[in-house]
Amino acid sequence: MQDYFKIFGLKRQFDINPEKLDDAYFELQRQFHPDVFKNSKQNEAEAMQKSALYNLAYKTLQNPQKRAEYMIGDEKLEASPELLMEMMELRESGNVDDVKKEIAKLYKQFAKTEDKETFVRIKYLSRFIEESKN
Amino acid sequence: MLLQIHEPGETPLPHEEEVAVGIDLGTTNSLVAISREEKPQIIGDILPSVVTINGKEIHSIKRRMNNPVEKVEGQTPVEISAEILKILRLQAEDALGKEVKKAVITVPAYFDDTQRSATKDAARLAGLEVLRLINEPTAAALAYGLDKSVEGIYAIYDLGGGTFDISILRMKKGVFQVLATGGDTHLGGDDFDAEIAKITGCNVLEARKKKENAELDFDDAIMPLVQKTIEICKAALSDAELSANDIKGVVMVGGSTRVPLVQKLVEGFFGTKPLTDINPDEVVALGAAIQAEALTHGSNNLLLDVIPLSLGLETMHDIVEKVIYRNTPIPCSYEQEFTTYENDQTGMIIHVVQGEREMVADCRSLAKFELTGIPPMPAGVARIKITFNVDADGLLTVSAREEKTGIEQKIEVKPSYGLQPEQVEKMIRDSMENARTDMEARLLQESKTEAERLLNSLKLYLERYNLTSAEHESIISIVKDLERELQGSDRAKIDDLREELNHKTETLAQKIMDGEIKKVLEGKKVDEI
Repeated sequence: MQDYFKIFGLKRQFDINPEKLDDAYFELQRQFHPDVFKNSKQNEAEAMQKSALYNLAYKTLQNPQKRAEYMIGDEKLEASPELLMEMMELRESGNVDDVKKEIAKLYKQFAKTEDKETFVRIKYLSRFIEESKN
Repeated sequence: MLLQIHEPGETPLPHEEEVAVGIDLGTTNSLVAISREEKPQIIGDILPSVVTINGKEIHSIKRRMNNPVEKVEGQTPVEISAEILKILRLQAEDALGKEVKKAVITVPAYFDDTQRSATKDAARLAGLEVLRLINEPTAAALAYGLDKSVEGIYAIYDLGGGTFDISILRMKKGVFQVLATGGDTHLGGDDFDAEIAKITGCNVLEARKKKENAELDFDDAIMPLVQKTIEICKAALSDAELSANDIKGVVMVGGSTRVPLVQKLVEGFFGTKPLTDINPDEVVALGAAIQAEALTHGSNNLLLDVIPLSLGLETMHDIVEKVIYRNTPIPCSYEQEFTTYENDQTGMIIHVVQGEREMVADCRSLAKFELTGIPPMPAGVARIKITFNVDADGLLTVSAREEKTGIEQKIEVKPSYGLQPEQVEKMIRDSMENARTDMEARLLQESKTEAERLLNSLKLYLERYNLTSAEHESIISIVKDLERELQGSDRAKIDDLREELNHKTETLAQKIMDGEIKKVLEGKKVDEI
C-alpha cells in the first residue's frame, strides 16, 4: 500500500503544512477525478480507484487524530491502569475546556515523540469531547 | 492550412453529437439550461413540476422519490418524474434544433442512495443518459463562483419548494470543494404553505398566493420551520469544523429564500448579509449546464463533493457498524473485515444501511444479500472483507469476499425501501437527540455479543478437551448464570460474569495450547482466539 504522506509529497511527520496538503490533493484530483475521464478513452475505472485512494489519504492526513492513528499503524493499543486512572480523573473533573487544552498539549508532544502512549491519551480524551457534545 | 493532429483514439467527437444539457428537477418547478464556453443560459421557460394523470394534477412528486415504488394514480414517482424530464428534453430539442441525449441532473445534496437511483432511473426512462448527478448547492456554487469570480469559504443555503440543503464549500483556483453538507428532504416552501393554510383556514394554493403577495404577517407560523434550517446550518458548520465567522458569504438559492424571515434569520446566524445577487430560481440549472459542458468538452474547474449520510452494515443484534462516514469525499472506497459468529457458519447476511443512528431499525435499509459457501470453520476464524464503493454520482456498490477461500459476491445496491418516508428525513437530528440512549443500547448489545461469542467457542472446546470434573462444574455454573443474564439488560453483570468465565477458562486455553493448534493460541484466553 502506498504511503499517504508520500502520495502528497509530504515528509512522514505529524506536523504538516495544511496548505501544501490541499494543493497536492487538488493537483492529483485534477488528474484522476472521474469527471476528468468522462470524455476520454482512458481507463475510467482505474482513475476512479486512484481518485478514491487520494480522497481517503487526504481525509486521513487532514484530521489530526486520524493522522496520528495512521502514523501509529495497526499496533494494538493498550492503556496501562495508571494511564486509565489519570484519564478518568481528568474526565471526571468534567471541564471540557481543560480537556481540550490537555489534548492540544498532547498533540504538541506527539509531534515530537510520535509514541503510542501519547496517542492513547489523545484518543481517550477526544472520545470524552465527542461524548460531551451529545 | 493547419492540420490538427490528435493521438489515435483521442480524436474529439464532432460537435454535432456533443449536446449535453443541465437540468434542475425541482419540487415545484423544473428548468433546463445549456452552456457554451462557460456562459450558461436557460432554455425556454420555467416548467411547473406538475403532471396530469386521469385528469388529476400531481404536484411535488419529488417528495415521493424516497419511496419510488409507491404508486400515485397508478404510476410510480419514477415514471411521473420521467414525464417532467421528457418535456424538458423536448423543450431543449425544439430550442436547439437537435437531439438531446445527455444531461447533468441535479439532486438535493441530502438525497440518499435510494432517491439518487430513482432520479437516475427516471432520466433513463425519459431517454436521457445521465452524465452525472450533481448536488444542487454544488451546482449553484459553480455558477455563482464563476459568475462573480469569488474565492474562499462560502455557504450555499438552498431552500426550495420541498427540500432544504446547506453546503459549506471552499472555492480555490477553480476547485469547488464541499467541506460539509446537511439538509432535510422534506422541508421547503410547501411546508410553509401548509402552516399558513392552517392558521388562515384557506387551502394550500390560496395560502401560497397570500405568502407571495405578502398579504399577511405569517412569521409566527413558519418560525419553527425556518429555525429548523438554522439548526441544520449549525450542525453542518460543526461537521466542517468551522464557525459562522469563517464563512465569507452565504449564497441564497431556491424560491423560498425570498421569504423575508428566512433572510433575516440567515443573516442573524451567519452575521453577514445573505447574497441575493443572482436569480435563486435559475442558478442551479445554470450550474448543471456548466458541468454538462465540462464533462463533454473538458474544463479547468473541478467539483469535489461528499456523501451526505453515513453508510454502514448491520452487525450482531441490530447494531450498525459505520463503514463510510458522512461528508467523506466521493468517489470513495472502504473495506471492513468481519468474521463469523457461530461455529461452522456457512452463510452470512449482508445488510447495507444508510443513516446516522446506532441501531439498524432507525436507518434506511438499502440492500440485503447473502454471502454463501463459507467453508465450515470455528466461530471467528473466517475473514470476510466487505468493500463499499461510492462513485462520483454518490451511488453505492457493495461487494463481499471471504478471504480464506476467495468466495466473492457483488451487488449494485438497489433500494429495499425499508423505511417510511418520514423516518428518512429525521435521521441526523434524531441521531443527535438519541445519541445517549443509542450508545447505551449499543454497549449492551456489544457486551451480549461478546459474551455469546465466548459461550459459543467455549462449548466447542469443552466438547473437544477433557477437564477435571471440578473445573468443568465451576465453568458450567458460570455459563448458566451468564446465559440467564443475557436475557436481561444489566450490562455490568454480563461483563462481570464474562470476565469471570474468561479467568476460569485460562486452564482450558492451556490445555488447548498443548493440543493441535499450539502455535496459533500461545498466550491467549479463550475469547481472544
